Amino acid sequence: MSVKKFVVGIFTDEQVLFPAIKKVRSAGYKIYDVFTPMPIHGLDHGDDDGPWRYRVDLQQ
Amino acid sequence: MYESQVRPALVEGQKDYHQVTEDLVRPIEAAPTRAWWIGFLVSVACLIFGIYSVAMQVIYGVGQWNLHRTIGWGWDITNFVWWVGIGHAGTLISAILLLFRQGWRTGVNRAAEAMTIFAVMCAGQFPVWHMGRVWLAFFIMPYPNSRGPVWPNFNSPLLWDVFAISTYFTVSVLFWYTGLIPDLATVRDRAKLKWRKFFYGVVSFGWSGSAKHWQRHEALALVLAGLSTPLVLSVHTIVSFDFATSVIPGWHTTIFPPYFVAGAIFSGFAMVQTLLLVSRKVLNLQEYITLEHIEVMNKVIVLTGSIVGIAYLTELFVAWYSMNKFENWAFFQSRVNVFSPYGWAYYLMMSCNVLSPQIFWFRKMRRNITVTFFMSIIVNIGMWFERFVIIVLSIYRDYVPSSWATYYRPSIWEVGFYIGTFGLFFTCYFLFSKFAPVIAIAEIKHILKRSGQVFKDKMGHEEQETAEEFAGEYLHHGH
Repeated sequence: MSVKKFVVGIFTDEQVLFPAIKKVRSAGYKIYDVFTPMPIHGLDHGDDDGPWRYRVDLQQ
Repeated sequence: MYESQVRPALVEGQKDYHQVTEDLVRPIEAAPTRAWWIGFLVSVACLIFGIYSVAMQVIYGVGQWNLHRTIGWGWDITNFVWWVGIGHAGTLISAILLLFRQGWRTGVNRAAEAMTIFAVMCAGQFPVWHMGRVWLAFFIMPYPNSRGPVWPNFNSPLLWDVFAISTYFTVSVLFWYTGLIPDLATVRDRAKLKWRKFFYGVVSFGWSGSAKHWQRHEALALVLAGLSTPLVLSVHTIVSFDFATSVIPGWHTTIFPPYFVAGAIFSGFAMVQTLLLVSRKVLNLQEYITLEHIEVMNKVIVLTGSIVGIAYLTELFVAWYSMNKFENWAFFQSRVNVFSPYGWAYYLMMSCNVLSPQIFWFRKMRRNITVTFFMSIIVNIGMWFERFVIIVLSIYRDYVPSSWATYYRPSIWEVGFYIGTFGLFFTCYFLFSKFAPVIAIAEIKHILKRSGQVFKDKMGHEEQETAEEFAGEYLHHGH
């Protein structure tokens, strides 16, 4: 069983998510999930890598 | 981000996301107030009286009611149609306004949906208990049976009602509940007491706020809205068919479907106003259920009230133009004739439904809380009388005078049944307002950045510029 490491980001305003997701993805992290108190539109729209879809990355 | 200052704020005051949660969850976490207890216990008392009234009728027979020839339907069906009509506003606000992308629905939709569900529960009582032999109520279900087999009459609107109303109830509950799940999770996440954590944990089904889940949640809301929208139109159309598909003068008319649907929205919005004006005062939610919300609902009331008024005048015209002497009698003798036994009911209906809502053409009146509250009660009284007029005034004087019925007034058990449904409705509503958020928390947060006052105040300088300046800036500076 491999050790999984997660980085958790906590934010107080959802506007920070848009540039943050871009930066985090280009730094090579796989985004496991984003938890918000209300629906946020536009989080999954493409950066240069193409559209990012919400899905669970199943890793063993 | 450019946001118009022309449209007023939907969330007033200096609200951030945390404050929204605090304001809307506080009534749930606080102990029930004395006002809540008084209202709740009065409602339960009415409900108990209603149960006793129904028991009297079930045990001793429908003869306990004052229905007799030719008045086969009286308070029972009047009350049924009244409650079903009220339910339609909630679905319109939730479903149709979602499809129309109207942000103002978020302040009122949760309470309105709850109202719909409780109203449909109350409405359903009447067709069930008026059956007489209610222990044979399963006869209406279409299944292969050993009674022949005997199938229910699929040609009858009374059976169509069974399907229409149960479908309406099912879809409304699903829509209300799925919308509630994220808000129940909010209460769960804040809960300190063990029972509250457990209870809200169960009812929120493990909601985590994951972006994936929000996507599916929004898609589901659109699907349910798409299903509910035709129901708003069809359910009350089917109910109107209870009368329109008959042959009775005064009942048999093609105007009933649109007339009933408009009337349902009319009385439903009036009941929403009644509930919300009290709720916002008692729960201190004036910044979420603003004068804007109240005004725009009053506009719907004046619109649908006018449609209903036009329908009344159309009926009168056709009663004359048709040269059908029975249709003419049903309107000009049984209704318009102020000296007839029930003429008073017709004029009461006309003044409550046609004349009084015209006050809402005036902006000052639309934005006046006291006027709105009294009007909402008056409209509902008027709509009750509309159903009473349609039902009783069309059948109490049959074709030949020897068949004219004696004056129908309800027995104590009919009145008790009706009071019991108020008891059921308000018991459910008091429980709902205590245990669930009366306003959709997540939806308010979703529109906060767009329509919150504090964000509109931070708006850019665009609105101060003239159009030419704005266009010039946009062209030259690209922003």
